[in-house]
Amino acid sequence: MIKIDRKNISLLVPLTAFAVGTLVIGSNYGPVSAFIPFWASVFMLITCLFVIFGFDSATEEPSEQDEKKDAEGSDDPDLARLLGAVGWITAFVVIAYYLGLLLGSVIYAFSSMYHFGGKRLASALVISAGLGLCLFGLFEYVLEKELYEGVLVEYVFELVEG
Amino acid sequence: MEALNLAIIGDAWLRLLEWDSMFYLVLGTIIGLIFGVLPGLGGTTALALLIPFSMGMDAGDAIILMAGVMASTPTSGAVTAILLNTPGTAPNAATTLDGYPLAQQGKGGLAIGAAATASGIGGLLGIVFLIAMVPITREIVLAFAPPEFLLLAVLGLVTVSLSTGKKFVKSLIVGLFGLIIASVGYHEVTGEERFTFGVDYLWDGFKLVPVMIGFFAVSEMINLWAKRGSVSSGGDIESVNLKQVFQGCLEPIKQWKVLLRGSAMGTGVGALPGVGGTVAAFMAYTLAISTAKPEDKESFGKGNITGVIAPESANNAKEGGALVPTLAFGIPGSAEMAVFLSVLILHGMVPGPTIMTESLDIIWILIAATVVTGVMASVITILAASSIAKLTFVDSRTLVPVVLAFAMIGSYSLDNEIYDVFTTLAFGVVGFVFMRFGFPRISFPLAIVLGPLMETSYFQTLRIGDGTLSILFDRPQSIVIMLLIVGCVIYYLKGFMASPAAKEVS
Repeated sequence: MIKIDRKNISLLVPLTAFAVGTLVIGSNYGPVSAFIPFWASVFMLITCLFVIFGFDSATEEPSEQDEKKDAEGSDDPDLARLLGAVGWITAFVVIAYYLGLLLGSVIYAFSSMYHFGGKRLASALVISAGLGLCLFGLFEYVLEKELYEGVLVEYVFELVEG
Repeated sequence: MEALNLAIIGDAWLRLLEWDSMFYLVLGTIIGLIFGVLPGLGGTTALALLIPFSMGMDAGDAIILMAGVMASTPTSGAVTAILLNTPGTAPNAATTLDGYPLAQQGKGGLAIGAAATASGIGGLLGIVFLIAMVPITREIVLAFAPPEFLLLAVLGLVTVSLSTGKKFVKSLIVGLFGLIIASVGYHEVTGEERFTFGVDYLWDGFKLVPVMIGFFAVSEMINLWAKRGSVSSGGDIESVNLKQVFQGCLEPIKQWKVLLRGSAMGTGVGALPGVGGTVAAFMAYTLAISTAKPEDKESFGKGNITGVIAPESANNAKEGGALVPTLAFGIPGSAEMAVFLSVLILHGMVPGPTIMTESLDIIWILIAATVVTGVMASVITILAASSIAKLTFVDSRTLVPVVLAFAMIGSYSLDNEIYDVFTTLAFGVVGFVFMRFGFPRISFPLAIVLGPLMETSYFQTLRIGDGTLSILFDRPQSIVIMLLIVGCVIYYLKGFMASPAAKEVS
């Protein structure tokens, strides 16, 4: 009897859709350009279906360690915490986009340590300011790279300059 | 022999005496030791994070920095494996089996001394193998043409996936996903635009550096943030006394046969694409048990120093072995080597026959830097084991924003392009999702690096074969590689057919 791999289905369905999409688009390219898009999509589609219909799990019997882990209860974080982690990492990019990479890094580091890490205000301030100085020194002086200033900061500068 | 040109070898060693080279070597070693000690980070993350910084350097300095990281990462991972039962990198897991019981018996220093010395000597023996292979490999590589490189790329992906054991198909899915991602942008030969959807940013395809940083560094940071707390919760790290450490240093010399066997195992396994350090370390551990005296066999797992020497020597020796297919064929054997390969490519070196002829100086610089780093990392580990172990007590709420800031600014600084930061984030999430679902990520960087090689080789094969791939069946080298690919698939299918569930389906 064919068994659907429910454990991985929420990843496999988007991957299958991705493979179908790239297969359809990739088929329209010339023979040389389509080599990887076409064949990689075909094999990806086959392998995704192989796993979805539980054929792959046929070879994946739970190990002694897995069974022990299941019995004891996994210490893996729950979905809410995982989504929270993705959200908080995304927040860094959003902050950096508006406030610039340097200022964004300092604010982000401070918030991470003070609001989530339970660090004291003084130590959170010192570490985040130290990080900012390190980044500034490394990129502006050692590597001589101009750092992204951020949409909001650029806008403020434009207003000030008139 | 040109490959063993004394002038080139001498220049490589003299290069290490220059101030800037010394600085990068020490910096690479320290970064490698720090990343090696923190579980989840490891050499791949360190290398990915350092790529943007290496772009401003000359090729030699960049290779020295990278060699410093690669050669020192496996050494420090043993310290936490022994003292805290927390392996810094996956290959150090075998060291916990006897290392941690030794620490519990108050012999942590002895185990650290033995591990550091075995790592140092193992690394040197691995490099001796690489040196011996340099002249031979050049001749072998020159016998290979585009049809073989096309098939070798396929073989690389298949063997790497096979090395994940029962997750073979899942690893293949990740690899195929990587190949499609690698094909985004203009085709190098035809100029045809693929999967760009009118977005200018995608014309040149996804850039290697933001993708690698995202897939490895950012995904690990997401994971670390979700887990909360410090990397390690505690352990008896104050019990390390220096006298005991020095006594431990002599153990691998006394047990030189174990050391040699472990190093040989590490080098041999390291040269096989995809098998990697974890397998090498466990195989060396198993070999140590099977070759031990009958009365000693019982003591393994309870604190036998041989159980520390064997895996640690194999773990470091594998670096020399793994560099052979990476440099000679452009086929990286591990995720770490795939990132290192991208550093070579970004610095204008083309792995394969060309690197063996045109960049021989770089290869010798790499060898010299690896040798010096191996010794330096062992000495630092011996002298500062307790301090190294304390690094794991750092809270993830402090570590994550710091690493993330370097990752994102590093991605941006390469081309001063803010969209690279978005790419890094996107691939960080993708890497994290694969990680959470238990899909092996190792095949992704390989596919990203091998994709362009496959496309070019495919085009050249068509040209040589007058528009067909029939040439693949005319060349004995190609036929051998094809048989190896088929053999790998049969090996997996054999395991699949034998499983009870497969019998139920049939």
